[in-house]
Amino acid sequence: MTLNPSRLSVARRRRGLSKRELGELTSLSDRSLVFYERGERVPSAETVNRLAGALEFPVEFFEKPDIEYVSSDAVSFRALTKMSAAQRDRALAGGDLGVELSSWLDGQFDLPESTLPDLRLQGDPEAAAMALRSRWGLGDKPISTMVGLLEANGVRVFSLAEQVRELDAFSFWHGDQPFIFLNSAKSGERSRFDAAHELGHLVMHHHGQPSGREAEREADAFASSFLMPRSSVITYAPHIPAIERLIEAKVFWKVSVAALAHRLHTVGIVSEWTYRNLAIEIQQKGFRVQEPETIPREMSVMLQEVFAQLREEGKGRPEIAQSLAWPVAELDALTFQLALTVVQGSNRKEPGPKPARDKAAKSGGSDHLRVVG
Amino acid sequence: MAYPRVVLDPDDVPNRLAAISPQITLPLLRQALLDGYTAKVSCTENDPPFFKGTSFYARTTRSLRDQLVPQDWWKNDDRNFSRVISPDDRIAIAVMGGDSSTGNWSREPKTRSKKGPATIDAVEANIHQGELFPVDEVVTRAARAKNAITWVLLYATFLGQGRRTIRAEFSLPASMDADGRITKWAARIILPAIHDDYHSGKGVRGPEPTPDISISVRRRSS
Repeated sequence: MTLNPSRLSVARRRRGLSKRELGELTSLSDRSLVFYERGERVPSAETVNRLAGALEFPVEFFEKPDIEYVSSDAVSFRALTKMSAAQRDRALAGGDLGVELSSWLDGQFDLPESTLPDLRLQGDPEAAAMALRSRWGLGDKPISTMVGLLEANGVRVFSLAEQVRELDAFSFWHGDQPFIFLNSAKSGERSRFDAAHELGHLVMHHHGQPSGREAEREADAFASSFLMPRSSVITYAPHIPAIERLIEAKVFWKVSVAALAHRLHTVGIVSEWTYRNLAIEIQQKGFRVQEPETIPREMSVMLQEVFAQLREEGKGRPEIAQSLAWPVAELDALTFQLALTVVQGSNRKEPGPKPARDKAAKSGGSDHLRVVG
Repeated sequence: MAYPRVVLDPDDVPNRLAAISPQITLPLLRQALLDGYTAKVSCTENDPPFFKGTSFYARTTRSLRDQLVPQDWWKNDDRNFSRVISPDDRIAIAVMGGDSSTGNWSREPKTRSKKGPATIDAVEANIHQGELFPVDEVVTRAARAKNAITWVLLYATFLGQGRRTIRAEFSLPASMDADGRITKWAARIILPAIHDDYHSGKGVRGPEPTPDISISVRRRSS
């Protein structure tokens, strides 16, 4: 048995553990772990078992070929500064696993290829959003499903069941393949905005420097324009900005009341003064924490199809997880808990139940492929 | 400066307002009216019926003050007559609901409700401006406020052609009738109407969304 150092690193970071913490869990010195992760020493089979048990990954996971790390430089995090190193590493390791899942899927299915253009030179984010809408033939219509639209255009969209408020979403290019990871703990409205925000990064900051406040502002402006095209807002949004009307109208674009209020300001329907008052009211009513009249969270459209087809071949969650040598819980976490809820046959329309609160809650023993302890 | 008694050309309105005080602008008055109207439409069926009108009046007054107090104006509620008064104490603004002639240049509007003694005194002060002692000789601000020229932001809402319209004017009261309503105006500046086309409630018409997306994935033969 040989332990692949890159996989030890991914599994450890995915669990949010430092080398020292993993050492404490496994009674190994952090020095040894440094050596193992650098590939400078080879742990015994017994040690690999112990590590696998502590990390809740099957032993086979550690024996597979190298896993490519997603470089944190290439990833656009919205609130990088607010996250701890462990939180960031945990999310990035989720990204590493997402890339692995994506290439496994590519081996099994012909999936949509990326149609994302490079819109770096569009001038401003609103122009970029309109250029993309035009290219995709969307006119100025509200987007029915953001995740489905992204997937149909070749973006791989996965979920991160992170109970980390600071983490909304992140995205990166892996070669020619764009990825977006959404924190499924956010509201449906927020998640759509995050998806559009990350789309903005992917098309505007492709291989550019994705960090920085200016880039974040641009991605926000892109998302706002992409989800709520100017002409559509001017025609259909209430021009008298009573909060009750905003709550009523936000469902047209499936956005948060805060996002609609902001858009009304940027298109010039409401003044700076009114916008400030609205923002205060939204804050006071707690709408930033608890979205009023909230919509269901979006699910992956593509993965529903994939899982439905595999199900027809008799392959369920344990079999898919086994192919990857992942714990089932990890598969569920990355795939919107879909594998849990796919019903017989394809073209399922209704999203399934809400994701479990954390991995401990849903990783009932029998779901685990093999947890060696 | 020779302005006609009634100013209704939108191009003249800003200049006419600026001649009263450079801080009184069309956007400022429009914002106050919008804030008032927004408060009114935020009322529900379960609010007492009088409250809709009251909230329009109250929020418009507050908005005027919220906007002008940072520019050194001050609020005066002497005898429950709520006004905002200019830094030099010469100009005061009060908010009042008007009748259906409000904003109509060809008719003379009346205030909707009877006014109290403080309003009567203010109109008197308007009429006798030239005859009063020079403002500078009055020592206290409160006393000077009594002699300020009081302009009225007069508003009314109308329902017609499937939409609500707010009509308003910035006008200078000249006399009152025996009922205590202001009936004559020394000057009237007709503000552009504000329209509200939004129809609230069930069946609100929204834009057509993009069609649902289905993605067909083909199994690789391997």
